[in-house]
Amino acid sequence: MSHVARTFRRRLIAAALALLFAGSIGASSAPAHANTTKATVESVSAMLKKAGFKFTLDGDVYLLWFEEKGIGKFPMVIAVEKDLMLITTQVARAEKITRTPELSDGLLAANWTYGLLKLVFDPKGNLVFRYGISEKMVDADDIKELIKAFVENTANFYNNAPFIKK
Amino acid sequence: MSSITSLFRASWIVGALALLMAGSIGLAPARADSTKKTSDSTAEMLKEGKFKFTRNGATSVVTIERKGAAIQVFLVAIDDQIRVISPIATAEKVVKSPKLGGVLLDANAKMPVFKVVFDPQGNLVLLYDIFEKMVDADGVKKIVFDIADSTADFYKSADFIKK
Repeated sequence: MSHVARTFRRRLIAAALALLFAGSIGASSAPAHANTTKATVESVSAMLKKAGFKFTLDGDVYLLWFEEKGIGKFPMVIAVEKDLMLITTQVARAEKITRTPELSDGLLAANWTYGLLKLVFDPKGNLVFRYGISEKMVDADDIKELIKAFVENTANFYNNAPFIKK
Repeated sequence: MSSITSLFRASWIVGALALLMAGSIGLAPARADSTKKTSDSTAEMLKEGKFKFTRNGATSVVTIERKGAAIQVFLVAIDDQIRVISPIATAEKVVKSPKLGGVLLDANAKMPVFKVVFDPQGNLVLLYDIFEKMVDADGVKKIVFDIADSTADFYKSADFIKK
């Protein structure tokens, strides 16, 4: 893996973990139980393998890479805490986004109109799609369906968003 | 920029985003047969979870006491998905400002699972969408309790809501 890819991966993992452990509204306030997280990681690994995905695992954070027309190669991070899987794909890096107050309103409105995935800025200002779901609720087919939805929508959004500099 | 120009620009961005997302999951026209099936299944899961609820077409409404507040949770069947909506504040209680969009986007970034958004009537709500096939009665119960707790927390902590 190149230095750039490694740095990028570290940043994504740090961002995902920062979100998970932010103690924010909606997050569990109880400390993570290592054995439960470990069990979830084992289960998620098995489901990803069964669904045919290649991934790397660093502790309780998965990294998968996808390549689509237009957007090119882009990463997906799946971070695990207890039974929760937090799936994130990066739509565009911060410096590629023309940010305006109107854009914030537009993205907020889009989050109502839109289905499963949440569109937000991560702590670094990158635009990301995110979805959180309990591992107990999904099997390998479901994970495949969710990942497919992420990949299609990330590429589609990047390719068509006028406020992302190409 | 004049307010009209600003409004037009905001509308244009919302419109562009809506078009952009039109092909995405969750926006396909709901199929009546599938929606009915999802709605029936949702009602069954709520019954199994011992919730008291009312049902009106594709929408089931649960009212629960959490953190000292009565919270309403709406479970709306849309095709093969369940949209879970928990109102935080009605439109007239929200103090709107040019920065509010950014503030709410930041709040969304901090919340791992739920979305905070305005519904079409301008009410501030928490939102979560899930495929019906991915949940059972326990899963629905957990989502209802979690979103109600988060709603109570958000209401208490938001300084832009008139109490």
